[in-house]
Amino acid sequence: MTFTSRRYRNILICAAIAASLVLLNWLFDMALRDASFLSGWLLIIGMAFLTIYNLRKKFPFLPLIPSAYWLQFHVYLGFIVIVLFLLHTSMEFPRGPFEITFWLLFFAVAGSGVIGIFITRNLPGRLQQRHGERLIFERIPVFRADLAEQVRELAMKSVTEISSSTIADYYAVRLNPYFAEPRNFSSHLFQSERPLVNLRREIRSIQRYLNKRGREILDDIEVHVIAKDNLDYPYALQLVLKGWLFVHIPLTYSLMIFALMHVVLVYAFAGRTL
Amino acid sequence: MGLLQKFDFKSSNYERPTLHWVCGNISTGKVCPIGPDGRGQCRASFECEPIKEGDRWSCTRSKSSDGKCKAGPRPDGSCCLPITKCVPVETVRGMRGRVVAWAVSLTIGLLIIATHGSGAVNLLSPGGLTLKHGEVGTKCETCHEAFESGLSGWIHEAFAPSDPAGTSKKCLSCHEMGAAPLQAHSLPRSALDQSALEMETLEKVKVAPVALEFARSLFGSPRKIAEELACTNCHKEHRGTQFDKTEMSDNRCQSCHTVRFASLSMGHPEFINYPYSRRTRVQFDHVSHISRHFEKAGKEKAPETCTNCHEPDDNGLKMKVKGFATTCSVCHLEQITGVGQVGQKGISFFSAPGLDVAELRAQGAAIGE
Repeated sequence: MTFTSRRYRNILICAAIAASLVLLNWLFDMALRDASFLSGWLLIIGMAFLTIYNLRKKFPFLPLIPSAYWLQFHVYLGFIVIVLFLLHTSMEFPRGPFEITFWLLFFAVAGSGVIGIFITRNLPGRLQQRHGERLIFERIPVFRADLAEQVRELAMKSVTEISSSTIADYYAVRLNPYFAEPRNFSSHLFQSERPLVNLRREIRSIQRYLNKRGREILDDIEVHVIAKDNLDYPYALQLVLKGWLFVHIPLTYSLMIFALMHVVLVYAFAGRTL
Repeated sequence: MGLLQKFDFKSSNYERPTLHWVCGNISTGKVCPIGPDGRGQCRASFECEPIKEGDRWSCTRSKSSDGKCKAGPRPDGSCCLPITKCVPVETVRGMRGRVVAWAVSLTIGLLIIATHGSGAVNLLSPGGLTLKHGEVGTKCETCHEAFESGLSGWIHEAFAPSDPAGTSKKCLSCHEMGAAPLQAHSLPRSALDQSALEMETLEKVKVAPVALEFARSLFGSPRKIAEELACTNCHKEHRGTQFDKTEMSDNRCQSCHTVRFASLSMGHPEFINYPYSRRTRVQFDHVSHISRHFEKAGKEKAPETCTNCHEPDDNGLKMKVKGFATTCSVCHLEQITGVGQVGQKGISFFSAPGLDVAELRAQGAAIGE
């Protein structure tokens, strides 16, 4: 089964489940039952399943279902839970401060989740296309430090080999800060190579002041500049890939606490119905 | 340039994805192999821990850290290459864990403030009350008995068994609903059963909506499931001032009713004795009474609430007008009995124009002169 047909199949199953839940809710209400209790409990169960995906990832050594399947389940269940939430709230904006906060939290989590799907579907492909090498995020600073050290050595070497401080001066002013930390975050995110092109143009403009050996060293430095840019690119994209979870996961736990409080308030004050 | 990353065991450390801290020298590329502990404390001491082979100490530095050093261990068996302590750096995973902990703490803190503070009523209320209930007051405990017991009491109440009578107690302290307030339409169960039996024999053809039949077969009829119904089963609150608490769809009504039908025009039972018999109408102008009469002469006799003159009928469905003795007579009895009235007493059924000659003479009027 191809990726596309599998996706269509899953969307179809997801839509069928959502439609069944809408129908069930309608029938439950028709039977003079409080449908908000049915949709509410289904919602809680759904949200709990979505939350434990985060816990699943904390135990990679356990022989649980592979994380890729969990993620598929997480995404489709997420859409079903949004339908359930709209059913539960009768698609109305809440009135009280507690309910409004709860409502906003839900949509912040759901919204960040939808953005997360977009991010996780797009950025890995871009990483593969641009760099080709799958770098571990935690190792990028080490490689950057290696490159910085190599460029520093080249700059130092240039002083003795060409008897000129042109490259060393340029290194001190422009290249040292460039190699010291990740650069051009937004340009990498929006796939703009303008900063790199500008820097390379700057490097080439120095060539006229150098002899043959100096130009060779400068060419070598330019290769390192490109390599550094190739490190900054996955760093920026991986930062976004990890960064959106800074919104999604903490808000999920806050949402679950609000949900539990909501259940207590409802059962304590809403009056028990059928 | 060639590939930056190597994965062979000699040149690659294993970056555990669950680590919260990494070596502080990561930005210089000189990461120590031992790394920080779980609390973010640097554990670096020496590049290796020499072992004794026979009577000599031997270097154990791993191949990924450039293998055995040239100098070798000191005579006392300690490594000759001490590692400078670093300030470990928190990983993205670690930072995220900290943000989660903060978010959870903040949420719990906010909820504690919301449930214990004086503003709990405003913060936790799910919405405004209907106009009439809003007049009763804005204190939660007016309608919710458990509110005063605080968070622990709420949790206890939430896990307590279902009790329609308890839930509806506060409602019934204001609403007089007859002898069977927790039954549909406040009618005793026997009367409901009797009515259902009569309707079943009366109506042979039942054309109910398929969805309704399906809903009943799936979830059963409320009458058969529960002995008692809480008021909140049909009447919701906190939906704003304009919300109609009595609103209910036709299908929901039919979930209880024995005779079910597709719509009002298709299958509804015949209306018997319609229009229903009712008492003689009395034209009563509320506006003129309230704004004119009650303001002037009858202020002390004026009714204070609707229930001074009105009361629900036996079913609790309609508001009846109370009898003459407790309503009109308070102000109008003397007019009717003729206290201080000239001529004949009482209210005449039919009268022709004329003069009360006897009375006029008694008053000294000049008649016929």
